[in-house]
Amino acid sequence: MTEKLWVTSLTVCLILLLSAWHLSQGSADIDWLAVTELQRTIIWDIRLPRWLLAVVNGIALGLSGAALQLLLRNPLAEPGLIGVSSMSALFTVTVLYFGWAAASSWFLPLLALVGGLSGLLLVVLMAGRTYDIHRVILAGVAVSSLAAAAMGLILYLAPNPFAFQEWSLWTLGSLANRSWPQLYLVLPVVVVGIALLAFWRQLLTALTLSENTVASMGFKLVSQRNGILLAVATMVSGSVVSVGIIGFIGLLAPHTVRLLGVQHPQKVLWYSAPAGALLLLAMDILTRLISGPRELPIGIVSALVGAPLLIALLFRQQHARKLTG
Amino acid sequence: MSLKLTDVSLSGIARDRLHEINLALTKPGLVGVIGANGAGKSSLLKVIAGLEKVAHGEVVVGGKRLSDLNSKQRAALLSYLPQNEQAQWDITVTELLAIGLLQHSLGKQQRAQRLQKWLNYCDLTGLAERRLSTLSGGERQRAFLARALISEPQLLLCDEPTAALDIQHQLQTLKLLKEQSRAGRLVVCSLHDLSLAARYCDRLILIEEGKLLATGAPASVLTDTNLARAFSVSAEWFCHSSGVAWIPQPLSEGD
Repeated sequence: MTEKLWVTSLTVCLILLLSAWHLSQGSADIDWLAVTELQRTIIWDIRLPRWLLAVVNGIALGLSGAALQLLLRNPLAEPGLIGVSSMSALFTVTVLYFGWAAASSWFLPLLALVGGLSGLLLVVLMAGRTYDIHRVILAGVAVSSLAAAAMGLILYLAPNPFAFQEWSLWTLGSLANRSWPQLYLVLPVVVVGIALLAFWRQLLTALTLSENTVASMGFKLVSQRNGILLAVATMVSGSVVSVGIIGFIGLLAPHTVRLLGVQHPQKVLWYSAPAGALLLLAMDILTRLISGPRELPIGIVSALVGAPLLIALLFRQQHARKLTG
Repeated sequence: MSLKLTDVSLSGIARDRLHEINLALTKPGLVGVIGANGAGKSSLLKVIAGLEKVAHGEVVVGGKRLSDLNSKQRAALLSYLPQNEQAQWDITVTELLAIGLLQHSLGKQQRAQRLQKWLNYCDLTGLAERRLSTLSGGERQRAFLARALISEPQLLLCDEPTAALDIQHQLQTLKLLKEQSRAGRLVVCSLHDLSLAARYCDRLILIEEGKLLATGAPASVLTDTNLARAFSVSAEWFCHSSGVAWIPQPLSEGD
């Protein structure tokens, strides 16, 4: 069986299996052979949008993680690294905190997108006109820390005791209590992000080789790097505004693909989309399985599962380095 | 294919990395750039490849000023293989060669034919589906060289293509570069082994502390005076029907 057929068959089977499991989960029992009007409403307004949100956000995070790992030539890169999600969350929390969200239904998503893109702008300005991936990483860490500090300050000064709840809602991520409006927010933004990524995708393959080689091959490194960062920032901002910050999916999706023996950058990139969707569906199923009456934020579950996996990856990388000398 | 450098200088921290280099290569051939460590060999190749912005002077490749060309036009003329090239991801030999065609608009059939041609030419057909991590150092270098050649450039720039290779693979690599120069390309490569440089290169460029010390046929460049000045060694040369060899000695006091 060819690699493509084997990976596609496995992905389709797993998506069908996990989707069926995901859609059947919930407090209400559903008789799928004789659906009542109430059950139809539960499926249509609660379960289906939640399933779609998991799939779309998983795709966005999987693609973003893979694109960043390929761009930064670092297998431990993930969307949180470039400061976009933190800035997007900061703007979201600020809007909610000051009660500006009531002004217009588009105000919150628009400002979250502006937050994410301004985070990207800061990173790009700090990285400068030279192509130095270490500067991008350091700039991303600086912007993330700045956004986290600003969020902490807002909470510290908050007269409202419920401010912390709002903060945790966005920084720990959740698929609960979401419906079609959140899906309408994230879907177009993710589609734009995917289109941008497809446009600049070849740089990611070329970056298998050294930066000097890639520049000599006719690639405009700085502008194309910024284009890919824009694609990632767009997708991550869309994801944060719909479900908050969900960590580790972007890190784990490309590694799951590589564990199947896939190494070519383009394949790792595009296979990371279904891998991200599968991982987020699995995390959401797990979240609901282990939650009591009050549902845990999915970000906590993904960190609980993802952090040990990250440690395992670090040890694996160290072991591989020892073997190759 | 011609290459002309006029008064080319490249700024550095303590001194110019290249200082007023004037050079004219008008015919295809294998040209070796030699010099001590830090003399400016890699900087010279990067300047010709358009990877370093010169502080002064101009580089003309194939009659066109490098500064007037955009990145794609430049890539259509020349190809560059840096020293110790590494692949970040463990792809196959065919996938590596295909990277060399990313910026070229070829049809599916033409692309496949081009891949097959260079796999055959670089003796990589049997390794086509092997991952790079499973190849020996010599095989891997051949694959990287094939990646640089697949775009069929008029000017090929290689920074120490024989570094870290055993002698058999050094000879194979230089033979391949020589064949390319005979096929009408201008091949400029930096080399450390002066015996191999004398044997394979049609012309040598000797650099000392960023300045052009000598250029011409190997016999006219590898003189006692030049070797003493550029490498601080004296040399005893041995001639054989298949080439020349030398035994270097450190300069004694008073030399």
